[in-house]
Parts: sequence; structure tokens; C-alpha cells
Amino acid sequence: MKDPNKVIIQLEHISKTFRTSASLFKGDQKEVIALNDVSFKIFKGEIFGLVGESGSGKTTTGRLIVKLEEPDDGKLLLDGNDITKIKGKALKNFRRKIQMIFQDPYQSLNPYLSVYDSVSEPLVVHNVGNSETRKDMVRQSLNSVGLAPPDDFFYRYPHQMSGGQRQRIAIARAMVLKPEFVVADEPTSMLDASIAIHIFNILSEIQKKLNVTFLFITHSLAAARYLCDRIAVIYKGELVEIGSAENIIQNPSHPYTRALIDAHPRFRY
Amino acid sequence: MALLTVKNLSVGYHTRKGFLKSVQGVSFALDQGKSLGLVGESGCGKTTIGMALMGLLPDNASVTDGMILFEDQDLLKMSKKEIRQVRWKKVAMIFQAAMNALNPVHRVSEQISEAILAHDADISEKAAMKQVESLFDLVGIPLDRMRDYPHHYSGGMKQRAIIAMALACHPSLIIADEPTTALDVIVQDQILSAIKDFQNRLKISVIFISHDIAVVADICDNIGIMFAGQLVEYGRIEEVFDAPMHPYTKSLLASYLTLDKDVIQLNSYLGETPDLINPAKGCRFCERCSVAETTCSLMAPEWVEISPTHKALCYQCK
Repeated sequence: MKDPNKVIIQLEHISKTFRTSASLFKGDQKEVIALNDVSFKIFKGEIFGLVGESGSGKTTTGRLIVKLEEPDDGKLLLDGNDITKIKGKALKNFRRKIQMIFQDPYQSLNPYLSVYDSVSEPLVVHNVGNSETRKDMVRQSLNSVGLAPPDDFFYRYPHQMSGGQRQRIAIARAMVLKPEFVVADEPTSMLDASIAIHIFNILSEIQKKLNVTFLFITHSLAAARYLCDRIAVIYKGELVEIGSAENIIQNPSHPYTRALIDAHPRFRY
Repeated sequence: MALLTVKNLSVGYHTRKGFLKSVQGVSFALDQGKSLGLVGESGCGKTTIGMALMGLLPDNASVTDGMILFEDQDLLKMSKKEIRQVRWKKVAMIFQAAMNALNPVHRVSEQISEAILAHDADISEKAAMKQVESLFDLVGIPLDRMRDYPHHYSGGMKQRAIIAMALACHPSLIIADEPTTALDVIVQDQILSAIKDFQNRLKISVIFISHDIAVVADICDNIGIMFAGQLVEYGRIEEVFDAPMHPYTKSLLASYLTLDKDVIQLNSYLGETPDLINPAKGCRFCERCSVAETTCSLMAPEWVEISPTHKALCYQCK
């Protein structure tokens, strides 16, 4: 359950700037400030929502936390330990505890790997179990995302499945190592509304069952409200508002949050 | 007098596994200046209808039944040459993947003036460029961005350019296929207002294809809900939203995430994707339906008229 005394992930004054490579003809480099002095804490066992528009820096934040990007400035802490600069064995150990679910299940799954190979790959990489116990772990993981009976899916390939099923495979792959922390980067933006709800329900069930902490990245406040305990709103690389989901939607204090609420389609006929 | 009448349209695709009946017996009519929303999940046939209206069905598709009357002419009976006179000039389309619909190696303004020049032999290049200017103005792209290439544009601006291109030859009908799906809420809101705006000003009819029921509610007069290749409910927006009749429509409305209603745990049971090669004999929604009875799985449902403008394809609505 959510434990407000235990911080699992903490960002301290994180900044990140991307530079375009100088063009052959025009010598000028362009700078894009993706994140500017961002700090927040995520508590153990909560679903934390990060909401913002495209280009706001929300995906960069997610990638920094799973260490697919390095910050220019600032510190990243896991369970109170500084992990900003870890390398080698420590990094591999870290990757076992932290997983990511990507936006587009059409691109994130290897088309040449069967479902079993895709889902068991993290186990192989991290040398967990043997061929027999791995089968059970994959079964468990597929069951937890509602793909039952799991054995029916073992030898299917991504192209034989719908978008919703593919995203569930991607979730199963992320969950098979029983991570402590998972970053879900717009996991439903490529999916239909009814399938999106299904994916949300799966994530919240997994959260309850395994007590995983989630960072849920989305551009939809309504989705964040449905799934999250707390929400942070990010705009042009800066955190503009953070608080309980209900509080932010009922009493938005920042004008950008209000703009997000107003832009949300509501049945105005 | 209806601008467009689609009668009993059925379209299928020849696939390795057999003939996939993508659209079956779809009928609707659209008046000049009105808008219709087609809503349904992926694979329900809504894009196939759009492609059929444009005469752009792929080679492995075939129309097995029905007609598409546009200004009293059957688009399905036209030769390739004749349909070229209609496509873009009278019926235009805003495509789903705005990110990929523009040619990356040509300036945006050139691509749009090219479309104008291709369909109007009498117009000079200069006059065409003038038209592009007024189009950019209409869809809200700053004029100093005219000479940019597509990669200079953000997603929302590319989508606006695609809308400008659809408007370039003054069509009377525009088919918008998921024009905001890849965009975030703020840009989506802007694009929807741009569409509403040109629709009001130019009195163009719009068919709006989407899986997002709230987006359709925002901009359409009529709505058609599709499931597994069939239209299952059709009516005026306010009728369908105030009193949804088909269980599928009800589930779509119930699973919409709002900011004002209380958060409740939503039911999300999903059946298998319906088999369209050998479709079920009875109602196709049966497997997912919460109020289905034995008759539903045995006999195909018939249309039930709730009001002269509102109907549903379901036994339980009687």
C-alpha cells in the first residue's frame, strides 16, 4: 500500500538540455531545454501521474528515471541512494528493479520474437531461474495482464495480435522480473478508449497485488485522475503543480493546469 | 435533399485467411453543411467507409453491395477518370497520420499549391499561391511559416496544413479520419475549433471518424456508432447521448473518462475481437453484451426505430 513515509524515487534539481548537432551548412547549434530544475518525490506503492503536453519534458523525465538519459545537472535517488552516476554492475542491478512500458506497442516489441521469447528475455538477460521456472514466471506474468490461458499465447507473434494485446504483452514483459518501480510512458495513447480503460484496470490491479510503484506519464488529466494517487503537471520543462489528483482537478492553482482542464473534451453538444 | 446517401454499403477484403467482411449493410445520409460522426473501435470498418467514399480502397478490397450517391451520382459506378473529377474537388479527406501525410522534401506551401494547380488548369502559379495564403490564414498557420518544410512544423501545425490541403479545391464534403488522435488535448482542442470554424464559414459537410466519442459529441450533428462492420446505432447527437439504446453505445459512454463525474471503477471486460471472416449468425455484440438473451446469438437483430431520427440495431431496445 501507499506509504507516505518511504520515498522510493527522488529527483533533486534535475536539468537536461538537448543540443542539435551543428549542421554542415549552418554552423549554429540549437539548444532545447527539456527539463529545468525539476524536483519531486515518489512514495513507495503509489501511482504517480506526470501530466503535460507533447514537448513538455514528461517523457524525458521518465527516461531519466530509468537511466536511458543522463541529467546535465541534479541528482537522482533510489531508496535514498544517489544513482545519478552508477555504472557497470550497479547499473545492471538497478535495471532489474526498474522497468519501463513504452508508448507504442507496435514498435516496442521485437516482431521476430514470439510472446514467450519476448516476455522471458528479461529473465535470460538477468540470469533469473532456469528454463523450467522461467516458464512458470512467464505464465504468471501473462496471467496478471489477463492473457489466459497463457500457454495459448506463447508462440504467437506481435503481428498476430491486436494493439491492446500487444500492450499487455509489453506490460507482462516489464512485470516478469517483479520490479519495484515501473515507468509507464503513455501506455494507451495508441489504443481505443475502451481498451485504454482495460489497460488502466490491469495496471491498478498489478499495483495492488505486487505493491509496485508506478510513474504514469500521460497527456490526459482524466486518465491520470482515474489511475493516480498524486499528479504533477509539467509545462515547458518545469513542474508547475503537484498534489493529490482530486485536489489538482477541483482547485487548479496554475493557469496551465486550468488550460488543460478546459481543453479536455466534455460532451458540449 | 441529401448531399450524400450511402445505401446498404458492404465492403470486404480478400485476405489469405478468406474474405474479410469489413463493412456490412451500412446506410446513412448527410445533408449539405451538416456533420456526421462515425465512432467505433479499431477494425470496426469506419476507415474503410471513408476510403470507399474517396474511391481509394486498396486493390484487395471489393464492394459487394450497395451504393454511394453523391449529388445523385453513384460514386461506385464511376470510371477512374470520372472519380478523379470528384476526389479532392468535391470530396476531400484529412488523413489520420498527419505526421506522414506531407512530403518531407517539399515546402508545405508548394505541396498545397501543387494540389490546386493539379485540379484547376486555368489558374496561374501566382494565383494558386495567393489561395494557399488565404488557406493558411483560415486554418491558423502564420504566413511567415509558409516557406517552411514539414519537419519545421509541430504535430498540430502539420495537422493544420493537412486541413488546408483538404480545403484547397473547395470540396463540399470532407472526411476527417481521426484527425486528432496523435495530438495532445490542448492541440486537439485547437484543431477541433479550426474544423468547426471552417465548417461554419464555408458550409462544408464533414464526416468525422473517431474512436473518441467525446470529440464527436463536440463537433457533429449526427452520430453513427459502429461495431464489427455494422452501424449499430444512429441518431442526432443529443438523442444518442441523452438516451443511448444499444448496449455497445452505453458501454462506450460509460467508459469515457471525465473530469467532472465521480471516479468509479469501470468495467472493462473485452471479448475476443469479432471474427469478420465468418461473422456470428446472431448479434455481433452478443459476446460482450450484458443484457443478451439466447435469441440474440441465434438471429440477426433488426433496426428498432426509437424516433424518426434515432434507431438502434438491437433486440433489447424494443
